[in-house]
Amino acid sequence: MKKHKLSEIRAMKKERCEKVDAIDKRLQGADQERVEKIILYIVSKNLDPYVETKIIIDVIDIINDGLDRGMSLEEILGDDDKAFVDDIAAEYKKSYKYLIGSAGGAAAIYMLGIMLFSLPAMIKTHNLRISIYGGELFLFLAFLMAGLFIVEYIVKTTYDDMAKSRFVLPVIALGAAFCLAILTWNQLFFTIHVAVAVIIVLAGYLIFDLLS
Amino acid sequence: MKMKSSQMLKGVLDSCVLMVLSRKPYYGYDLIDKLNDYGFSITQGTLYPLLIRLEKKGYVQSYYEESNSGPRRKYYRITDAGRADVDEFFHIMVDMSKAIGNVIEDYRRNSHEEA
Repeated sequence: MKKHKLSEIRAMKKERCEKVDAIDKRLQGADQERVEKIILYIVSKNLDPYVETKIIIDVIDIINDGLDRGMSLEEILGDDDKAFVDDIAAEYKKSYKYLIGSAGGAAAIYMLGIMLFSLPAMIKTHNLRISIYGGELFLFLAFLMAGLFIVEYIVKTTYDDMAKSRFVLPVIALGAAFCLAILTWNQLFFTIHVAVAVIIVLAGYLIFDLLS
Repeated sequence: MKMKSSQMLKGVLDSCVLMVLSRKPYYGYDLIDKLNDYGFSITQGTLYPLLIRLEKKGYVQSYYEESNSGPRRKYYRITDAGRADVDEFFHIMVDMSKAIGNVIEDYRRNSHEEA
């Protein structure tokens, strides 16, 4: 795939936010809900973030142009939104960059939280090392997994129900993370220097900014 | 009936769009108007995924142009690969449409005779 400049990606992200916001304000009731579902369903396809953004901008432009011509959503897009998005997504490979981006963001938040939490003790003892305990690490992982699954559930159930079997693995993983959190609650896993923690925060944020 | 016709349409619409684009670049809605003038009945819901498919194959290229009546518009133009594909389709379809026409004519004649 063609490489894109960081400035171009940022400009597209900004344009996407502005267009989603504008179309949301322009439409009302069932039409507004219908476009929200289309966008959500595009997101559920796990496309490359650049492709996903480009498609969402295109679709909103198409809808806006059609509305300017006095057409209804039905006349613009036809009557099968699911097939419309499926046809588009069929042309692209799935991408899991958003997962890496989310993990980067989560790592940044986690490390920032631990740093702030440890700050009073660090000042008091003049010790610049941060202790990482098993309990907080696994608890954070559990919340992260739960958050990702909730997002996944919302976007995947736009037009279809989710099979019950798809709940099994996340529930087991969530249960395991909670159990490990309880078992290792006061167990010191390792310590890291505050400088390393700062690097993790910055790197995590950068990954999140680039890939999500 | 609708399902059947949309499946049949899918098979030929890509090449019909290329044929229209071979004359000049088109903007999405103008392309729809043109195709609907020819007797198709399609919406952006059909055309946009089709144009993405053609662009991925390298048969068309998209570019933006400023519009006097609103925001920038996305235009599509045919590429050399697209022209080659549409030339091949043209020769196949000319032969096939003759054959299909003969079958339809024969069917109509028989139906009239039986009636």
